[in-house]
This record gives sequence, C-alpha cells and structure tokens, in this order.
Amino acid sequence: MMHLEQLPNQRTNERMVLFIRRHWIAPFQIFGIFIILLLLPVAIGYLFYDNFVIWMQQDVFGPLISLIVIMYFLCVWLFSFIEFTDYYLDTWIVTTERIINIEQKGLFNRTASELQLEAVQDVTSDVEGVFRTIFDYGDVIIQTAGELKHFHFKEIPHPEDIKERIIHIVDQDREQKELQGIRTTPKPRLVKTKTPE
Amino acid sequence: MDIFQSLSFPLWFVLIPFVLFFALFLIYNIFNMYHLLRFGVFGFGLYLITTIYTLGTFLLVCVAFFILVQYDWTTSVDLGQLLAGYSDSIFPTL
Repeated sequence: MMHLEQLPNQRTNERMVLFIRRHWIAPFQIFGIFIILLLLPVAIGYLFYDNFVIWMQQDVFGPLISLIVIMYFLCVWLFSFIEFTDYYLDTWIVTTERIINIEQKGLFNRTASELQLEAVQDVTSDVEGVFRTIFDYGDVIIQTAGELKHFHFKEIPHPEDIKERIIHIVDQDREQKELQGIRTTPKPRLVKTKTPE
Repeated sequence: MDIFQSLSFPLWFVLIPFVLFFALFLIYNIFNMYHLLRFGVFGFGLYLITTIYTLGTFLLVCVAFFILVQYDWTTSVDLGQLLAGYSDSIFPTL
C-alpha cells in the first residue's frame, strides 16, 4: 500500500502539494456501462418472457441458459472492477521536489516515473469539447527541458487551476534553488493554454 | 443426423468449461485485489472499495452456486432427441 505521508524515495523537507486522479466522470462512465450491461439480459428476458419461461423448464436448456447467464454476470462484474482498478491506480502526485506519474494499464502493465521540478519547461492545459468544458476537466501536459519525455495528466479536474499551481510550485522551487546557489534550467518557458473558442 | 442420434452424454459435461472459466475468474479476481492492496493509496477509500469488491464477488459466487445446485446434472443429453424434439418447442410462441 502506498502511504501519502511516506512517498517512495521521499527526501527531507519534501511534502506533497497535489494528489490528482482522473475526474469523477471516468468512474461514472464505468458505473453507467456496468448498469447498462446488468440490465441488458433483464431487458432481453423481459422481451422474450414467454419463450424464456419454457426454455428454463426444460431439462437441458434450463441449466445451459443459467450457466451462460451466470458467466455473463461474472464477466460484467470482473471487467467493471478491472476498469475501476485501472482508474483508481492512475495517480499523479506533485510534491515540493518532483512530479510522480503512476499509470496502470490493464492488470499486467504498470508505469511509475518521476520528474524533478527543475526539469519542467513547458506546462500545457487542454480542455477540448463541450462536455469537458461544462464539467471542467481535461488534460495537462508537462514537457521537460531537453528531452522528448513528457508527463500527461489525463482527464483531470480543473486543468487550468492545476496548471497554474504547478507553475507556481516550479517557480518557488527554482527561486529556492537559486538562493541555495544550485544551477537550474533557464526560467523563461512557454506556457500554453488550449481551450475551445 | 444418424450419428447424432446415437450420441449422448451426461449434462455435467457442460460444467467442465464452466469450471475452467470460474478458475480464470478467480485468478483475475486475486490479481485485481492484489493490485488494489499493493498499489492503492492507504485510506478509508481503499478499504471501502476492497470490501465492496470482496462482498460483491462473494455474493455473486453464492448466488451462482445456489442456482446451479437446483439442477439435476446427471440427466443424460441425447443429441438426436435434442435436435429433433426441440426444433418445434424452442420457439413455441412464434
């Protein structure tokens, strides 16, 4: 289990500033699909009710239909929870020293990477589409200096605010490092905001 | 059709693929739970999710078990009779 008070490789004086998960719309979508898939066989059973009653009374078809229906519900339950686990374990943590990106892809693929704040060069927030604008969620992309690598915060709530906060934290970190005489990457950086017109 | 008429098997044969499916279901469940407990963030939310997941899985498995034990799985399935006899009764209301 991960403890937020005790992050992996935590440095002295390092503290967590932001803990981000995807917007609530993501688990809501999973829950919605789960409910639809649960109701689908009920609706089919209701439509073919007369046939269904006769089939269930037969010695062979009754058990076979029961087996298929049970397997269907077990699959729906399992895959819904796998999807939920995927959502739940996708996290982004911003501390006073670094940005940690943890991404779960399915059950057998997990990526955890971190980025020092002084390497941050470009922060972009991206809110595209009517739905995302109404519910105020979108992506934040953090580009590092001199590398092709970037961090992509997907479907997070309040991307504009989070972008501003990250910029503020990076600026604070840079000022602190300059006071301590530690060389950092050049301060000027391109900050873009992409919102629908 | 003559070949099918002489073929019969006990109904419990269909439980073999079901048992394989159920074993896979349990393995995936254990993996899912392991991921939640190993990589999830410590707190009430994690306990709530794992409790709902465990109880839901347990409930589903119990319901499945109680449905399946109601049937007589020793019934012999005659393929010939199945193909000839059920063709008229499969869609009786149509």
